[in-house]
Amino acid sequence: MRFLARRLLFYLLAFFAAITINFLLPRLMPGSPLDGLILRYGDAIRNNPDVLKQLQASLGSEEPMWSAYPKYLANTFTGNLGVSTANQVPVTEVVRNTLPWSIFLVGMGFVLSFVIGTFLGVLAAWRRGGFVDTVGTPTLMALLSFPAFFVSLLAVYFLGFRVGWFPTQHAYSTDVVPTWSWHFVGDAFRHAQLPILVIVSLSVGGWMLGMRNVMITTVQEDYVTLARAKGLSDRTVRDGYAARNAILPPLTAFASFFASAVGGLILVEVVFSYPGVGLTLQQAALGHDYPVVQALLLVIAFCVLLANFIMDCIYVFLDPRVRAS
Amino acid sequence: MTELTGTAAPPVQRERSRRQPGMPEWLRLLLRNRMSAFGIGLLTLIVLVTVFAPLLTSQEPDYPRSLPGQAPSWTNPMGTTDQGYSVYTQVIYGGRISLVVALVATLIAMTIAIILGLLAAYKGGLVDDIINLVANIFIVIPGLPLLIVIASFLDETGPMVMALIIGLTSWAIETRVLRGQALTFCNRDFMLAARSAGESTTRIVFRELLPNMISRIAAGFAFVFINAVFFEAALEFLGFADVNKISWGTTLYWATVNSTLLQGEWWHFVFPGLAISLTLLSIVFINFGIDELADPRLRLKSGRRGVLLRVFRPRRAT
Repeated sequence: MRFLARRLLFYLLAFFAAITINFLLPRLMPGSPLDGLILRYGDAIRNNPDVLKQLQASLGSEEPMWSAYPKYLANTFTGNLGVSTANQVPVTEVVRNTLPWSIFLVGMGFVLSFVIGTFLGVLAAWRRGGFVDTVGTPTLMALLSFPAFFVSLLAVYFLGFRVGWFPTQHAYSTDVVPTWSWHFVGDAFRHAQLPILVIVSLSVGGWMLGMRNVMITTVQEDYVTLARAKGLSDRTVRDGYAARNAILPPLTAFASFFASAVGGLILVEVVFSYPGVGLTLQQAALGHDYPVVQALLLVIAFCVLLANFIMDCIYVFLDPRVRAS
Repeated sequence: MTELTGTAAPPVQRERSRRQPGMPEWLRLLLRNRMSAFGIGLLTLIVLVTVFAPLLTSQEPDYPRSLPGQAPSWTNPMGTTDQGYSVYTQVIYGGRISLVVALVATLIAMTIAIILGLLAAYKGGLVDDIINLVANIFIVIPGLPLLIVIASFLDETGPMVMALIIGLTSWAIETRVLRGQALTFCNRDFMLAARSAGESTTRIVFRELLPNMISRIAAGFAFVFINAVFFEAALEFLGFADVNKISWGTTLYWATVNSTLLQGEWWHFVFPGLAISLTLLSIVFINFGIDELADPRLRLKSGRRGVLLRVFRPRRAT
C-alpha cells in the first residue's frame, strides 16, 4: 500500500504540473494569445462579455500571476473549463463527445497488442530459432521505427482505398444514427477496425520483445525444469509455469506504451478523420481555439496518469513482492 | 595536489590515449558490426543526397515545372504533386530542414540532459530529488500533445523555433538514464580521489565523470534524435510548422491536404514517408553498434540472430 500511495502522490503532482504548464504557457509566450483570439473571433467574443472574462482567466490579463493562479486552479478543479471560441459549445461537452472514441481506440489497441504481443513473445521464446522467432520478431520490431502517420496513410491507401476492405474515414457511417443499437455498434466497430489495426501493429512488437526476452531466462529456471521432469505436458509447462511468471516484468513497460500511444493516437485519428480527442486537439490548435486546446491537454494528461495508476494497481495485485516491500 | 589529480584521472586518460591515434577507433568498431555499418551507410547516403541535392536534380523544389499528378516516370522518378512539383526534388531537398531541425533539437535536449543528469547524480540530496521529480513528471506527460499546445500559442513556427520547442520537451528520459549511469560512477575510486583532492564541481563533473559516459551519451543522442525526427515530422504533418518550407513532413502534409490519397496518387506520400522511415531505421541500426561499444560483453557473445533482435529492443522508460 505504501507503494500505491507513493505512486498516487506522484501522479497528483504530475497533474498539478500539467495544470501549471497550461497556466504558464499562454502567459510566457511572446505576444498575447488573447489579442489574436479577439482578432479572429471578434464578434463572438464582444457579443458575450462572460466569454471575455473566461478567456482572461485562462489566457492571462493585467491581473498579476500570483492572484490569477489560485483562481485558475479553482476553475479547473470545479470543471469550469470555459466555452469553445470557435463554436460556442461548452468545453466539457466537447470532451464528453470526443473522449469515449479515443478511449475506445486506445483501450482496444492496448488489450489486443498486449494479448497478441505477449502470446507471440511466448511462442518465440519457447521455440527459439523457429518461424515466429526468426521472421515474426524482426518484422514487428522494424514496424516500431515506422512513424504512426506513415503507417496510417499506407493502411488507408492500400487496405482501405485500393482493396476496399475497410472504411477509411470517420467513426461511423453518415446514414447511421448514433444510438445504442446493434446496427450502430456494429458500424462503429467496422470503422474502428483499421485504426485499431494500425495501433496494434505499431505497438505489438514492443510487448512481444519484452515478453520474449524475459521468457528466455524464465525457461531456464529450476522450477520449469522440475515441471518438465514431473512429466507435465509441454503446454502446461509453457503457459502455467514459464509464461505465468514471465508476464510481470514486461508489464512495467506500460508507462512508455501510454506515452507513445497518445502520440500515435493523435496521428491515427487525424489520418482517419476519427472524431476523438486527437483530431479535436489538432483542429482546435490549428484554429487557436484555446479553451478547447487547454482543456484537452489536461484531459489527455489526466487519462494517461489515471491509466498509469490503474496499471500500478494491477501490478501490485499480480505481484505480491511489491506489496511486501 | 597535482599528484593527487594525476591519480584521479587514469581511467579516463588511458581510455583517451588508446583512442587518440585511431580517432576512427569507435568508427572501426561500429563499421565492423554489420548492422551498424548498414545504418551508417544508409544515414551517410541520406545526408549526402540532401547536401548535394542541387547536383542530383535539374528542378527547383519550390517551382512547379511538370504536369500535375503524374505517376513516377523517367523524367519524374517519384511522380509529381497536384501543383506540378517534382516529388523527387522535394524529397531530396526536404531532408535538409528535417535533418537539421532534428539535429539542433537533439543538441539542445542532450545538453540539458547531460547537465541535469550529471548534476543530480553528483550533488545528490535535494538537488537530485528535485531534478529527478521534474524529469519523471515530464516523462509521464505525453510529448506530442504538449508540443501541439505549445505550437498553437506561437505565432510562427519556423524551423529553428521547432527545433527549440522539440529540444526543450525531450530531455527528460535521457536525464533519468544519464543520472542512473552517473550514479554508478560516483562511488568509484577515481571520483572519490578527485573529490578528496578538492577539485571544483564543474571540473569533476565535466572532466572526470563526463568522459566515462561518452558511449552512453552517444546512445542517448541516437535515441533522442529518433524522437526528434519523429516529433518534427509529426508536427509538420499535422500542420503546425511553416507549411511553405519544404521538408519531408510538410510534403506529407500537402499530400493529405490535397487528398491525393483518394485520387490514387500514392507516390505523393509514399516517398517522403519512406525517407523519414529509412532515416529512423538507420539510427536504430547505428544505435545497436553504440550499444556494443558501450558494453564490451555484448561484443563477445553476439550471434547473428541475437544481433538482429538487440537492435530493436525497445527502450524502457523505467
